[in-house]
Amino acid sequence: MAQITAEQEAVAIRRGLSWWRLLLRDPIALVAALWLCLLALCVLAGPELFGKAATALNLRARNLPPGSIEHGWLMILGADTLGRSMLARLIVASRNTLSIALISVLVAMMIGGFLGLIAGYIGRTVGNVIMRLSDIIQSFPSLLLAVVVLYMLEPRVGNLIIVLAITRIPSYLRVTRAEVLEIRERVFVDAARALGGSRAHILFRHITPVVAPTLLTILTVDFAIVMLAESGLSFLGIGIQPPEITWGLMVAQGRNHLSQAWWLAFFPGLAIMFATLSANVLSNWLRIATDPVQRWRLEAPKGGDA
Amino acid sequence: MPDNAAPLLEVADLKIEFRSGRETVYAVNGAGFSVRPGETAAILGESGSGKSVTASAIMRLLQCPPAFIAGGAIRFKGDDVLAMPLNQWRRRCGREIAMVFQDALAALNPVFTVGWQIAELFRAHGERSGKKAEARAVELLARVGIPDPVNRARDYPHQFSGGMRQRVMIAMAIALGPDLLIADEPTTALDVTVQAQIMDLLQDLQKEIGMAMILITHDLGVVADVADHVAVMYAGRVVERGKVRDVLGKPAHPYTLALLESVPQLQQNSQSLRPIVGSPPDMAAPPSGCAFHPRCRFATGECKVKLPPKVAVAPGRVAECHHAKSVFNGG
Repeated sequence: MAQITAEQEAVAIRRGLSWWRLLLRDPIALVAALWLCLLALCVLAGPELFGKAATALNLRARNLPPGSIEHGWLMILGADTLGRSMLARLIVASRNTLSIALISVLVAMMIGGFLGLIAGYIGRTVGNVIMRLSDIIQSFPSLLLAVVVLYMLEPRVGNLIIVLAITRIPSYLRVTRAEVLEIRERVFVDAARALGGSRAHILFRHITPVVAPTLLTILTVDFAIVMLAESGLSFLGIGIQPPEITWGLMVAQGRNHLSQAWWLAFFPGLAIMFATLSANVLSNWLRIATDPVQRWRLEAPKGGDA
Repeated sequence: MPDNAAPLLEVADLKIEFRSGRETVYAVNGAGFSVRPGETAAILGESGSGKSVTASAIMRLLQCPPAFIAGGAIRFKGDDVLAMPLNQWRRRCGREIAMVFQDALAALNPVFTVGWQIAELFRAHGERSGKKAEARAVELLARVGIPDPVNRARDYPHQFSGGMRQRVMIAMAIALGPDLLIADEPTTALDVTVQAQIMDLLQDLQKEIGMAMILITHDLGVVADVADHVAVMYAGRVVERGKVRDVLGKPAHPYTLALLESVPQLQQNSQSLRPIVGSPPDMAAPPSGCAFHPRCRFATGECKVKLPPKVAVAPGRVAECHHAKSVFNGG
């Protein structure tokens, strides 16, 4: 009886479990996904719900340490030097932080990936021009580039995204090109050509899907780098300007009070870490779940090392 | 098939070189053969004899550079393939001419289901409706003998056995009903029973569609079984060509003769096999004169210095050997 059910399950697995069931089977990925959902909620509704609380001063709660709720549950994570709720500020800051980071890495990935595909597949002159452009961006200290650009333009969210995206493009470009150079020599690309696939068809239908998981992995790593870069710019005073807040800016501001009120820098730092960590965990899960050859690792019944 | 029909594909005096740094490898040095509509031509030769390179050149899959087409012509339905704009040729690939590769696992995209890949072929060639394309894919899988095609269409290449994978590859190649199918060692990676099944399948499909086939192989048995004509390649040249029965029955080139003698035969009573001595030439520095002379037991002084002429030993039989007539008569 048990064997039949195992067999049935094996058949069901071979036909592919739904995304849901796959995710439920991996508790760590599930936690990461839930955390990211929570963050998404904060991004979408946070400033509307907690905007007032995040700016309300409460001088009696100045530098209130975390853990007490005598000033209301919003003060559970303590309060900053002006007595504003840390929790509310973290929630409100999530929108700026995550949208800047996400949009700039997405833009960088799309531009870098596209140029990398072209540089790798078409090569020759066009490819050389693209690679030298990438060299130029890379040879420029990215912080200096950001300072110059943001000094000339205004330090607004949009400009910040552009600057951060530009500095991240080369890593996507190089990785994509390297992968394409390898993939285009594979037999299935020849086979697609032999069956009449056009250049664009081969590039977007056959090569891109093979490169995509790698890009996704870089994207999640970059996500953290960009968040930190943004906080660095904020620290220099050319990033996001108060009263706008981001986690990076909160870390930068909290650094001055580290000896009296560690929680000012600690919690935003923790938020950055958890956001990055869960993005990494989930992307790792996604990479395996979307790879037909690796997928069985998630589908195989737990327990016993078969 | 009438012998005087216009050839579907004609390869004339094809020369392909690979140039890298200081070295030039002369992979193909004047290969010539032709295929008429509906017939099966085999290209027979050992590893490195230039048969796969010739096939890649026909499909225009060679990377140029490092490859260079140094001379010769490929004509498909009278059109010069090598002079045609690549886009135009690609549009005809799949519809009029298609290819089956040796290693089907490598030739299928690992990240898509086989059903999707076959459907994609239809979409790339103008099928608008995704549903229809998928239905045709399933139909095609059934036609090449894959059991439970509806469910198997949802599987990925690595989930198929070697023989089934080659069937999928064949399904893709014949999907648009090409006039010519190039099969590059389609059964080399498979075990013997599966080889026979795949060859049967190819022959059935060939009859059904009425396509011609170029079978590239080093397997004499397969050639004897399925081919109408054979071109024997050695060191980048077609050294002998003609009808299969004639060539294998009464070879006119010492190399063909030596190949036949190196194959075990049931009828012959316990005569030991006669292997071909030596090894294939280094194509970066091919031997002078006839490339086969260092390994040939018929070789004379003439063979070392002079490239042998094409000798017509019988109607429809050509061999490139100074001693073709004596081999033909005495062998």
